[in-house]
Amino acid sequence: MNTLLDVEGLRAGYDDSIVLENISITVNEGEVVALLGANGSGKTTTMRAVTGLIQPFSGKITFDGHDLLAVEPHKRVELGIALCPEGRQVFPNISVEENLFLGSFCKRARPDRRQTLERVYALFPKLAERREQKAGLMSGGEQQMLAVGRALMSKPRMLLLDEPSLGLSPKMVQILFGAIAQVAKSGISILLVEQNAQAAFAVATRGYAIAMGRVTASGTIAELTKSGALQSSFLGSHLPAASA
Amino acid sequence: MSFFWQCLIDSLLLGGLYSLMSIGLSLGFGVTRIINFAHGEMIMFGAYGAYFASILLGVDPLLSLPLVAIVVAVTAAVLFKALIEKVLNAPHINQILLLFGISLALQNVAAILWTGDARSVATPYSLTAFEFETLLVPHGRVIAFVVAIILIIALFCWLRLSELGRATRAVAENGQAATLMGINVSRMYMLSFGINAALGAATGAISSFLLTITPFMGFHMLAKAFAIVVLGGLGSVPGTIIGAFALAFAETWVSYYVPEGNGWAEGVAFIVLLFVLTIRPKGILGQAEAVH
Amino acid sequence: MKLRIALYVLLAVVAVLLPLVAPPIVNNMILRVGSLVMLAISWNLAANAGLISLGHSAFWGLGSYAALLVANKLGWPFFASLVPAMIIGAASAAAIAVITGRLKGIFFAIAMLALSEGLRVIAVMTPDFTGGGAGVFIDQALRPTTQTVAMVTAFCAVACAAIAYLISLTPFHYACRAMRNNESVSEMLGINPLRFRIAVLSLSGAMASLAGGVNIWYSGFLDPMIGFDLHVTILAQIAPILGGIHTLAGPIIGAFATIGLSELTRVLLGEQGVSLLVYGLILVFSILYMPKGIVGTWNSWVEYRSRGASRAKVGATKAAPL
Repeated sequence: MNTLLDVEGLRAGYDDSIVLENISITVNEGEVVALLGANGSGKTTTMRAVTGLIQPFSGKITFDGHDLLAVEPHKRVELGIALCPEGRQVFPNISVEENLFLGSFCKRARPDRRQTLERVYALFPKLAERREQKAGLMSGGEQQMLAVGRALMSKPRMLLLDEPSLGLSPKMVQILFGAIAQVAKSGISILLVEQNAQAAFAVATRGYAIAMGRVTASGTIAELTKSGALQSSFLGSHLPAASA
Repeated sequence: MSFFWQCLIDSLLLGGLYSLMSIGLSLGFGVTRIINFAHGEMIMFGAYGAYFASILLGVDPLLSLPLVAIVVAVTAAVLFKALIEKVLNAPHINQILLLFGISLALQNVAAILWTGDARSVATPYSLTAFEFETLLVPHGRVIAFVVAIILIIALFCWLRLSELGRATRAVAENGQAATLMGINVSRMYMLSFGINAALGAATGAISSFLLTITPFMGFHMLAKAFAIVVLGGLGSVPGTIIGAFALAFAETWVSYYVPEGNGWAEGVAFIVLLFVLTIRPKGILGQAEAVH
Repeated sequence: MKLRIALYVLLAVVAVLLPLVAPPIVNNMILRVGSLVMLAISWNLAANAGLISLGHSAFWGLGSYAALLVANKLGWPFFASLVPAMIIGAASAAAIAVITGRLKGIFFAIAMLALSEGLRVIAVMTPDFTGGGAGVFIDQALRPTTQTVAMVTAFCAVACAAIAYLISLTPFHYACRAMRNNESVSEMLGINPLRFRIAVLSLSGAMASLAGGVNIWYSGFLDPMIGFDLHVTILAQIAPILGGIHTLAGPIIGAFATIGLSELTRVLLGEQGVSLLVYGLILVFSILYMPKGIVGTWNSWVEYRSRGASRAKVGATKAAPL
């Protein structure tokens, strides 16, 4: 399998505080990899470092053979890596359809944007219904769909999803993750950050447990659930492997 | 009664000019969140540009307007890159003072180069007017109005319909999300600043045959533009248009109906400003947060 | 430390008494520098609380007109006239503080700009009251000697410096820093931002108006262009920035430096416009490369030298806040 994203020894933080001590993860082509951990463990910081919203202190990030850290943040989407950020971050006073068009701003995605748009509408029919509406007026779930759709508009090879289930009703989470599963099936690799482990397990094949800025466990989802490493990373202590 | 119609027409024509004068400032702020205290100087250089084009090359201000606007815009973009970009994330104090300093320097460069003598461009239409019964509608003002409206509509079309226009609106809403879309935010800032300058220079070019040109004309127009932008709501471009017409109406009305109104009209902008700040700092259509 | 204070007191006494023996040219300098010191301290006070005034000439002009009016219409002498000047300065500043209430600093800056321009228009449009655009002379019979005015200027400048110093010793000083950096934090600390703003601005306004009030007795003539001169606003900013915002000595050093610079350019280049240009360039240069001003940079340099080591920078570099 082809390694698409390779993060090695990432050390990052904000101003004078260090959030990531040493993060190393890989995502292979066609995989759905989950980053699991409690609040503040460093999941979002990892995402931000990969997309360039923050500059890491040290470490290496390679995407499809390119040294990502040498690429300016706004140029990374051109390489085929798209982030659906924490908190959705849709453009509130801009219509749904225009939000989607903005997703395909990069040169690579512009030529057949109409077709990509239709595919996104097929994936999220609710968005088609509300295409003229201002994004800020929609519900949390609809905004999340828009955020994912917008990321898809850039025709990414890899999609980064940061806490997509945050603030959503269980029904909404189901619908959303159903769509995410479909996206995965279409061949797009996914790196998923989630607090809702159950939702993540529904779509992920592999995972990493993160606590205090370090990877505490990794493996397939089955391995992780069995080993109880997830409990300890969520609870923040190092308990011996519990017999579930 | 004809007083009323004259007042109405004058208000409308002035409103068009005021709109053009302040819309660049509003857009620039909406995108970069920096208040451009050097805005008045962009207007001033536009006026001088049109003036010299007229004196040295015999070109009418309306014809030299596009070139003057572009030259000023490019210069402004360069200034932005060289100086202003550095304070994008600095405290407000730094931003305000830097731009004030640039404004001061520019005013006095002009004063040194061209002296403080007042000038004006004489065009065939500066002195003629339409006459309907008792109404007097100066040609120059109508032309200025038309140009202003054309430019404003062009701006709105660009914002609504073009790729970069849409990107500009996105940056104004959320710079980080815009970066994720592949938009080069820093370049968009420069572009917005350039457009701000272009619209200011265009205002100056039209003003060249309506008002007297001095190196310090910008300051007074800046103060009014502030009043308009605050009235309309910081961060809202449509709000600015409403604010511009509102102020134009207020000023003209005062000038016609209040004794010695011509003098007092100049003070209306500031009373309006203080009024708005007291009652509704958000302005008419404001979106930017006013309170800490 | 005690030696330092004794030195300052000595300098202050010398400054105040100097006009008794000095020639008119020196008195003129004392007047100019003294006025600017007051303006600079006043501006710096507001800036310390995060409020950038872009219209300080408003207070100056109000003070000038107040002193002139009570002298001409009510016959008040020099010293008495200064009281209404200060009161009106404090009152108008308090009014602006209330109007801009909890709004962000940018609104205050714009409001001050509007105030100074608006007052200029009012002064022009009310000739019965203010003498209008033509201006008016102060009652010649009441005028004190130039020496007296110079002494009073020096005294007031020293007083303002002393007040600024005393303020820096109180918790007021920390309140300022909290306000400047984060209003919500300061609220948690129990500082009432609005009441605080009103207090700081009233003091600042009173100082600037006092300067204007004293000055009118020296110049003898006032019109709206002089009273609400943009030049005054500019000088009020340049001096503290050049000298070093948020420091004590900054406004004072800056005032001297600014006048010195003004004289230098006048002697060398002869043009008014050039000195203003220089001011503009100074502002730009200071903000970009020397945001702490002369005194601040000096302090940092001293600190750096005594520490001896360079700090490793972690993460993104921040622009040095003033």
